[in-house]
Amino acid sequence: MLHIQGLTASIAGTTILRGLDLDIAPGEVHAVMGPNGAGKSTLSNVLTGREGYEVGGTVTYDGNDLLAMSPEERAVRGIFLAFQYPVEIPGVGNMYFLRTALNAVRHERGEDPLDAMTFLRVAKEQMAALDIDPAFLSRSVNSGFSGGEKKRNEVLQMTMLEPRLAILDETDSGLDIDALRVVADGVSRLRSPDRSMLIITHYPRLLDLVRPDRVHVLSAGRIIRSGDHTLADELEVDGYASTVAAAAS
Amino acid sequence: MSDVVEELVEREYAFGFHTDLDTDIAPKGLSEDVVRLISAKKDEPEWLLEWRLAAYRHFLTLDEPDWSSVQHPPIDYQDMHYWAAPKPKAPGPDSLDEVDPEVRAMFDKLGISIAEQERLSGVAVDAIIDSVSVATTFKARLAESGVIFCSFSDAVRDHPELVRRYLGSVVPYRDNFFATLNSAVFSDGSFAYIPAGVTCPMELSTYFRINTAQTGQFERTLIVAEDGATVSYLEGCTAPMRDENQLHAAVVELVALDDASIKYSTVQNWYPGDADGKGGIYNFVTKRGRCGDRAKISWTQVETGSAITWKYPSVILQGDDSVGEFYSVAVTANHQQADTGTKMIHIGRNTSSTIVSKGISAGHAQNAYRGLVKVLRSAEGARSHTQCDSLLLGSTCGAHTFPYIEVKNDTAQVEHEASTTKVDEDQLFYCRQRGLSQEDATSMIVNGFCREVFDELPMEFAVEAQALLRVSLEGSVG
Amino acid sequence: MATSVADRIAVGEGADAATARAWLDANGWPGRRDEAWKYTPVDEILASLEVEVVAEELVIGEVVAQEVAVTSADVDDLAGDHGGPRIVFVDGRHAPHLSTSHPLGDGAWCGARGDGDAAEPVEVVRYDGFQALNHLAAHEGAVVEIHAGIEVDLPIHIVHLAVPTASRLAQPRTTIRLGDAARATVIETYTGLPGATFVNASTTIALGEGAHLDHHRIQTESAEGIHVGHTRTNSGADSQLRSTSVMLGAAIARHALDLTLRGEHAHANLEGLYLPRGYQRHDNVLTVDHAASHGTTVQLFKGVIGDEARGSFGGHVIVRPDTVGTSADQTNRNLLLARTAQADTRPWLEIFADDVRCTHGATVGRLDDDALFYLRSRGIPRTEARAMLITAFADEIIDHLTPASLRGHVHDAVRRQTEDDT
Repeated sequence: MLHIQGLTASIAGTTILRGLDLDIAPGEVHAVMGPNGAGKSTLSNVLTGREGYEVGGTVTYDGNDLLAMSPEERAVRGIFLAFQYPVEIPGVGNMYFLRTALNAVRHERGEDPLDAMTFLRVAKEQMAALDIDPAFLSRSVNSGFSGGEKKRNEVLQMTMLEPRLAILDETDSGLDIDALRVVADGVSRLRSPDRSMLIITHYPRLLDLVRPDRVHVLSAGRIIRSGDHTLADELEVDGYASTVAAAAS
Repeated sequence: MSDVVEELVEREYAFGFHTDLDTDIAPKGLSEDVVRLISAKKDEPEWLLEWRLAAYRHFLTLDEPDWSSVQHPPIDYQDMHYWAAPKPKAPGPDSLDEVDPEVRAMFDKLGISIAEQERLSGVAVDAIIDSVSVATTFKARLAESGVIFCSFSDAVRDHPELVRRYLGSVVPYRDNFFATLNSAVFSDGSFAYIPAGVTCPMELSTYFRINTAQTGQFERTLIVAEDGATVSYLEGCTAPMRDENQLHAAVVELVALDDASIKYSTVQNWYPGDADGKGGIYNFVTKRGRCGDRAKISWTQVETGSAITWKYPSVILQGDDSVGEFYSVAVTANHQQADTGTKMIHIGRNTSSTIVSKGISAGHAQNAYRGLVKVLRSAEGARSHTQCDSLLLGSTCGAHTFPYIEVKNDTAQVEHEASTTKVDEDQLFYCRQRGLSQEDATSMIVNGFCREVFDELPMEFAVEAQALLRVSLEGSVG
Repeated sequence: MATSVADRIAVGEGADAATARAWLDANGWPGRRDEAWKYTPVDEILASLEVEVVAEELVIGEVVAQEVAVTSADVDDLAGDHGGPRIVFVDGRHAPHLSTSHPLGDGAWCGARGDGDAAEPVEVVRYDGFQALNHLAAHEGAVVEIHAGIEVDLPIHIVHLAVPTASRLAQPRTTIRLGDAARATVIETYTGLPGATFVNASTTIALGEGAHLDHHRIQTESAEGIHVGHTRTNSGADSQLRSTSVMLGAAIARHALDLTLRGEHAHANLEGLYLPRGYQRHDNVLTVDHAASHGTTVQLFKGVIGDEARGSFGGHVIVRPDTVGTSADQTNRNLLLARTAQADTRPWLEIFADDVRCTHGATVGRLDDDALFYLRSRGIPRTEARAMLITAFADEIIDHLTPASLRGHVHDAVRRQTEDDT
């Protein structure tokens, strides 16, 4: 489904990704781990079309050139990014925002827009599952939300938008153990044979709860090691330093 | 954003049609004779003619003010008509059925079907074309609660004692250049009077329409809420597309006696001129209210139209514990200029004022907030808070903030906050990552930016205001 | 009116004087209707200038007469000794016997220079009659000149002392010039003996690329005096300016600070404190002109206003078209300490580019009742509690003064100014 080959990216003259290769098949959950500054956030930004990067290499998504698409085009075709720092948009109601996004995605899929009542019913079910207060919907998007609330809101959006490729950028950072479990449960529920996931994280603790099919170690803009989920455990014990050193030698 | 800005297309003005009405029009130019003519046309009492003439004589001593940031070629006050009125088919329409069908057709086109409004929405409407009131609805039902809502001319005829007592009591004829001009030549406008203790049973609304070419529009609105009375009033404005600039110099006076409350909302959509800045209304307006003890005056304005907007709806907080509010969204695109804001004059004890101003500037427009918060020595315990934010869409427009705060009482607490930014790139990207187009995302963010002000509008107009905002910025944002 | 005072002063010989004279003849004096003078009692200043001030011939190089009984100890008292060179001027004339010199090393110089020798050329942008009056006069100007790459550690102290005896118009002129990557700390103290003095000061600062200047301006002139001051700064690319202005003295004091960011990535931190008491009028007028991209400026001015005094702040941030990446913050906070005290604040933003992040905030209020109560509930007497809160409010600015001796000196001056408040 996603085929990344020789991906490079630089911003303001600084090269961050230096030829990254990655293949994700439908239904697979991949984790990309790496120390700070390895290029993890750049990878998610480049895959979702954030402006400001000089990008090289190829990325095909369902056989199409992903890099040629606008951010919204990628979104309606099923790529979802759970932001590391979800953005606050004062004055824009959470419900209104989510319904507009959902109907944009539905429009692309050739489905009718959801009316407000149906939307509300579906949203409330999902919120109950994610342990989110219903008052959430009437607040402004992420405005004044706590860190945990923001992350849950991301998972709620992901659940509602039913993406084909979900990218979770450090979704586990800043969460206490209870919130982490809620998020992990939400992610696990979304696993399905036709949905792929890319979990980007610094810490292996989310991976204990969501067992990925493949784990990659990103360092200095390249994937230096890949393996199954036991690689994550190994990193937890040994840290990144030895892996990075081993790859360099 | 930059490529978006380059896509700037001409904004379509939906209300730019002109209706051929048989019009009674005075010769061009301003003179004592014209002032007398206007007064005579309206069968005015002698005292009102004298008041007009006093204003006219004072006007001759004044120069056009130059302190604001707006720029325009000199206005030739002799090269416009000061009186134009649709000729009634029958003398004085007493019911809607007698209103000229073409006038009614025009209002239908504006989406203000007077008859429909009367049946459905429960909003009393006064419709004013080229300075003359053509229809006021719901008079009878309002009269049951003692509320008077009629054209200014009718008020002069039927309630001269009220008009005489309050006319010029908040905006005296010597107030400023444009108010003085208005005082001399005002043609019509709306009058509302809510007796003591009465809560007006419905929204009052006036729609203003400039129709005739080369005509200045000078209407005058006077709203009096007696002790404990409450009223909500809304005005809307449109004009045809013309290459020339037309002058609109209105005066609005609000009198809120003890414990009274007046909410005054404006959705101003005069023709803004074309994409090159040709044509459009020069909107120089004086609006002011005076509060008695515990009274409240709240101004809400959504200003999207006019080539130039120059207005500072103000509140004189004379009574103890009185409250003044100003909520404003001012949108300028293409070559529009706005210099708008408010004055809050704290005189009474424990008076409070709230100012929320949202300016949005796109294209080559210049958008300025100008405001004064003045706390006099007598205003023990006064409170004032100002939040004043500007949003820039494109690199060729300007956003300016010119606040003045003068405090002469140490128990006062005055705060002013302001910010100026462009649309946040992170917010845009977040919305687009969720599948929204750049235009939808920008529109959503801009609406969110204005939310606090829209929330102050009566429900049905809040929706209209949001739609208007979108139309105004069309092409500027995506 | 416009010219009569100008006719009574000794006129300089340089091109500046001609420019200034022509400007003054054409434009005259500022008035209340001039926006930048809205809160300055300019009519009173002009009346005083016309009636009371006798402008005298200024002879370059003339030693200040000993009849002006000022000693080094007096200067220590009034201005402090901050460990570096101290160049003293009395009524705009160099007083070598009161000055102390310290070697600054190669490429760095400070001292007095005659007319036209060292001054930056006059710019008639945002110009006014008082700047013109200063610039058309003959001068012994204070000059600080730091060449490219030179870093001066010692604080350079320029003291402008006004004395009332001669009843003359003092027109100090200061020029500070830092070459590329130069670094210095310059203190300007405007002080004086008790009595009716009239000071019309002009300072010009030019910062080269990557230059770094700490500039402190302390004004503690006689409470009967009039002080009109103007500081014009041009900042080069990547330069850093930290400026503090403390206004304590004069019956009527005005300081206009005009900063233009000429090069990209320039940064400026502008702070100020004004503490009018009695019937004093203190007016601060700031203009920050972002003429180049990626400039960052932060303004923080605080007023502590007592008695019948009036303190004003006018800030004006301009962001020019075709610039990007501007960040400008502007804050003005005022404490009113008496029923009859008055504060005016006018924080303006004028923005002609979209890639900006500008904010401003202004507050006027009195001491926080809750904080006061809290302190008193802990047994601190009311008077002392108030003093503590006032000091805390002022310290945010004073704490940024360098060196420590200056901090201490200003602290004491502020304490003297505020000790009767409670």
